[in-house]
Amino acid sequence: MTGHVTPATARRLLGVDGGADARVIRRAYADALRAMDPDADPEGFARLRAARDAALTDARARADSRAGGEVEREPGDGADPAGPEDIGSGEAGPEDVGPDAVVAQAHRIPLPVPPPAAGSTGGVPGAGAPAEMAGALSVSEPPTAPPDAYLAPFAAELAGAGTGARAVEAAVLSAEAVDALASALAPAARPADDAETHAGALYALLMPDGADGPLDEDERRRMLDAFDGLLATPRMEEIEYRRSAELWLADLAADAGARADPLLPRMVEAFGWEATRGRLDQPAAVAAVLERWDETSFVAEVTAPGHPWHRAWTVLTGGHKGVFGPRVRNKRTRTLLAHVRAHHPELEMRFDPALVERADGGGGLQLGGRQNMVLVVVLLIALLRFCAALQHDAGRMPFGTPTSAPVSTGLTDPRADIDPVLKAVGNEGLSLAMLATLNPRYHDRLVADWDREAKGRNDRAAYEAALIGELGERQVTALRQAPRDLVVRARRLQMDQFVFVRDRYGAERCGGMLSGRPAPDAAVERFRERRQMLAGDVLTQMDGVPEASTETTFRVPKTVVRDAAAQTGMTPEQFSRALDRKAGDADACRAWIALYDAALDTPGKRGLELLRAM
Amino acid sequence: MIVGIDLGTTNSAVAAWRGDGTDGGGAVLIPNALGDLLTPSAVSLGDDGAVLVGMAARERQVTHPDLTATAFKRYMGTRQEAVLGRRRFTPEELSALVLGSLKADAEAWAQEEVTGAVVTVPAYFNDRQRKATRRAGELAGLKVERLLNEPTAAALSYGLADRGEKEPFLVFDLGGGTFDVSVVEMFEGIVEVRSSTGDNRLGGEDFNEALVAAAMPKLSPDALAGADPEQRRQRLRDAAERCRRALSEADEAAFAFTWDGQRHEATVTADELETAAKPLLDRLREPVLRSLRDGDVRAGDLSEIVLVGGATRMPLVRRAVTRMFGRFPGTAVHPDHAVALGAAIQAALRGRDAALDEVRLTDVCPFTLGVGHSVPDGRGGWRSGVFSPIIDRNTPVPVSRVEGYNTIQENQKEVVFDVYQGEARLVSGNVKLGTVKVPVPRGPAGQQVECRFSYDTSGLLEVDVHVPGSGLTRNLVIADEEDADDLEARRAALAKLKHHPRDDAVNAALMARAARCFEDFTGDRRDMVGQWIAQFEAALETQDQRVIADAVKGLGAALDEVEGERYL
Repeated sequence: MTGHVTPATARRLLGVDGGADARVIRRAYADALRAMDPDADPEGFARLRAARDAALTDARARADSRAGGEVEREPGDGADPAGPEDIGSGEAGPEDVGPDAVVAQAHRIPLPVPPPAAGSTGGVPGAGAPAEMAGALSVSEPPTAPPDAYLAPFAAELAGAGTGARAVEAAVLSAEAVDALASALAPAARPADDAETHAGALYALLMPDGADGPLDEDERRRMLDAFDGLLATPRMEEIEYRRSAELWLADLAADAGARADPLLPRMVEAFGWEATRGRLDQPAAVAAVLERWDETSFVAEVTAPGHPWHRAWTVLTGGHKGVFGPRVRNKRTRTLLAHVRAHHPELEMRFDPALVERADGGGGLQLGGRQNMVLVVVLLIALLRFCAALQHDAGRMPFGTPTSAPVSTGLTDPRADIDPVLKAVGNEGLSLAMLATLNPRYHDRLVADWDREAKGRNDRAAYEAALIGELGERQVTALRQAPRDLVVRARRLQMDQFVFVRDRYGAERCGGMLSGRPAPDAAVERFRERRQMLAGDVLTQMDGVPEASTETTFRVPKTVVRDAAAQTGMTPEQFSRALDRKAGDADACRAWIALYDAALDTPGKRGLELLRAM
Repeated sequence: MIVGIDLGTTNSAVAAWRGDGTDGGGAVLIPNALGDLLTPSAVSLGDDGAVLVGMAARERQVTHPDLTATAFKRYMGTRQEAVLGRRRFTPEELSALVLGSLKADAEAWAQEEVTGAVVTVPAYFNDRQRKATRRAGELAGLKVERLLNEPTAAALSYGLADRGEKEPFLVFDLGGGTFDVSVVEMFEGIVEVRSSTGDNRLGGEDFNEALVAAAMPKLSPDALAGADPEQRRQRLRDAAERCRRALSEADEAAFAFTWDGQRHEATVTADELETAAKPLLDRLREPVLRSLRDGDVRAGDLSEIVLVGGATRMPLVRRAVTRMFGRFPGTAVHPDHAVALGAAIQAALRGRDAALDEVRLTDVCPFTLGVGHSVPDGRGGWRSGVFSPIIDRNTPVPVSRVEGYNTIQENQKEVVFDVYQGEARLVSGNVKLGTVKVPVPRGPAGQQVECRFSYDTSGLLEVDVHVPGSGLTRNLVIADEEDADDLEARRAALAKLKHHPRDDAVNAALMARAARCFEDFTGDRRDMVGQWIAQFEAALETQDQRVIADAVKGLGAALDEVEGERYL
């Protein structure tokens, strides 16, 4: 639209008065159009068209309100739940938060919730789903035009041939068309019944109350049968009915997560989603299902023994110990990792984070083979430390002490809020549904936590801690062997904000933030907050209750200073000044980030301590 | 005089506006030299090197596949050339030959010169394809007054039949090579297209291929041993075409062809065709759905489904449409004629014919048009190759929209706009139309650049890029791959080609048909045809008009009887 035209302006442009109805408006438009040449005056044409549309919309709204509040719809419309919102805007997501929004989206499948405790949570319709779904599918009656309407075009032929199906056949239609006519005319068995049965079965299998875990053979077969049955119902030939069903199924599959996996290939094929992949107007649910299908296909490929990445996959998912320990520093593994990160980010969740670190090349020393060398180096360093006189006392990073300061927000729609949390931990695209598959126990806990939250007894940060706690379980185990990882992780989370600002806004702004100036914009501020909290929680997890440090400075070993200074191209003296923020914001930024990088590279406990002290 | 031309994949037609006609509110189809209203879109080189267009060429496709070209509309907009003997032709040149033939037919019928034409294109033809069509017209010596979308043309023809008000109706146009859907409304003499979508690679030919796939397993594997790929393709396609037509009337039909003196035959049922064609029928849904959504109309609110295009004659397509909408499609327009008639109406509109004084037509642009741009990727970098729409699809045309963009790097020297057409989120999924670069003054990132798209009623795009900071404007010249001189030279070359004399068209077509029958048949029938050919040739040699006329009638009737049908 070329901007908004008020109805009054529109009417003025068209030359009609306030009470004009659609007919008058269209006539005015027609006259005006005839009086102009759109090719010669495209802007004028666009204005005229916009005016007409605005005037018509207004006239319709006024007519509806006169008719008594409800927008009148013909019987054929029914309650088409798919609505135009899914197509054209491409954003049919749970953007509207709040109890009203949930109820209004009647076609969306609500999440399974535990049986409501006393004093129910409210706001999330649960077991009512099959009824709603039934409402969703029984969109409209078959066309209710009287039989005569179908025969009207053949009036002339019929006049000679009598009436009835045979006569119609005589009037140029083929036998098949006659059958179609007959079945359209006969009220017979309502196909919608069939569809409802199948849809109900599908829903029950995909979103069971309480049960979780993968489907067994029988359930899987029943699910596939129900889907095929649904597709085969005659009404699925009707284009709008089919579209409603398509969107309903996409939503259902997107929400059901892994349980829907066996259905995905059939769904994608039946509705031709491959062909519309990547379109601007593709509904979000369809996009989500396609993503999941890509993933499951990929996993199926990669876990097949012949695949080039099969070994790398097995190793990364912790399935292959090998004689000398898992080997991850090879090209195949790195290629696999890059591919997964680029195309199936959710799958990275399945890898052992310790191994991923190692594969990335950021982990600790690769033991086993170089132990001797390490020993020598360690001894040397110990010697040097003994001799080293100069150390550098640097002011602390403006992180403050990591805390679990409660930031409480009322969570009303669990799904809307948890996803950003999951993303923030670095697992792009990890959804609740996926989590249910990967770690059902944790998923249940989360859901239980929401309950408590809704009663106002918990807060967001606790969720995040719980989340990290659960995810960190594996990490904690690894932690005992390599304490470095969690600290590194936490520091990374904290340093991210500065690196981000440096890359995007330049070293000046970054340095400014270091000096305590506010973030360049709200997005960065939010980013920063989140990182802070998460980092704090990671460290908490490791150490238990954090002690509030009162020191304002800490010591940096000379070697580290030298390395970091070399990285930035400064002399150690310049570097020290920069660290103390005496040399300008840009330099401060560079210096601190370089220090951080150097600390990461410092092996063993020294590095750890330094990171922790920063 | 300006005529309307339907340049189809399989058949073409030409029509003109006559104030006192009965069809389409005054438009009438013009018969060709053979007296047919449809001319096959086929070009062949005769034995004497002369160019044959139409039915004769079509017949020769079986007998001389390496000298004949058909279905070249599918290659419009590409550089794929057809090799006919020793000559090479681009798709535009082949189309130009067909247009030239139609022009000659029109001039013979109207006894006046034809200077211009309204030529139809599938609504979903992209910019390159449209330009190619325009070029074809110019190569034929025709001024292309306007390119008209095929479903819109059909809608014009349908709508003007009774000039009344029409609630939104849907035009379902399934031709030889393309599928178009439009939602059209008519009120107060205004024909308004609300939305238009389609599929450029879905048509009758695809159903032929499906049928071939269904029939092949039933034939012996060496049925076409020794045939080169072109001959193989033609035989199979030919057999499929006949079989498909036969299946329009019966439940099963023969898929048959002759090769190497032997006849190969298999029986195909209507059900088997339907199964084989199921993926094609599935593809019909998406464009229909999108048209309904974009046109903001429910399937139940449509007043009519108008079927256009030869392929809609197939019962399985009609059944699919009936089931899609829960109602029968209409029969008010002739599926093969509506488009040409509509084009003639548009030609008359342009000529401001008095009878059409109050009629106006507004159309929409069927694709989203935009540029490729970069968005922040959340990690401090930029992600390029993201499509930024400037004109949304199904916006009424003509339309002109401007969007602002800015530089993303400090001291950026220029901004590059890649122009795309399509619906995918990433530009890699869309059709690239061209590029325009504009230098920007040095400065920090964030400098403004404006890009304006202007899309006219023929569906051609102009791009203007403007830098407010420096006042510089650049215009996009979408490389038309051809400059005026080249075009003129090619036009002259085409005109110089030896064309088979129009007067002789009937004889040529008949001879070609007889030759084809000879190849097709075996045994006794073949011998008979051979004799008839000899007799006909003898008659031609007498140069006696009456003798020839009798011979023509005789041979025609004989072939009809033996063939059972005359096929297009």
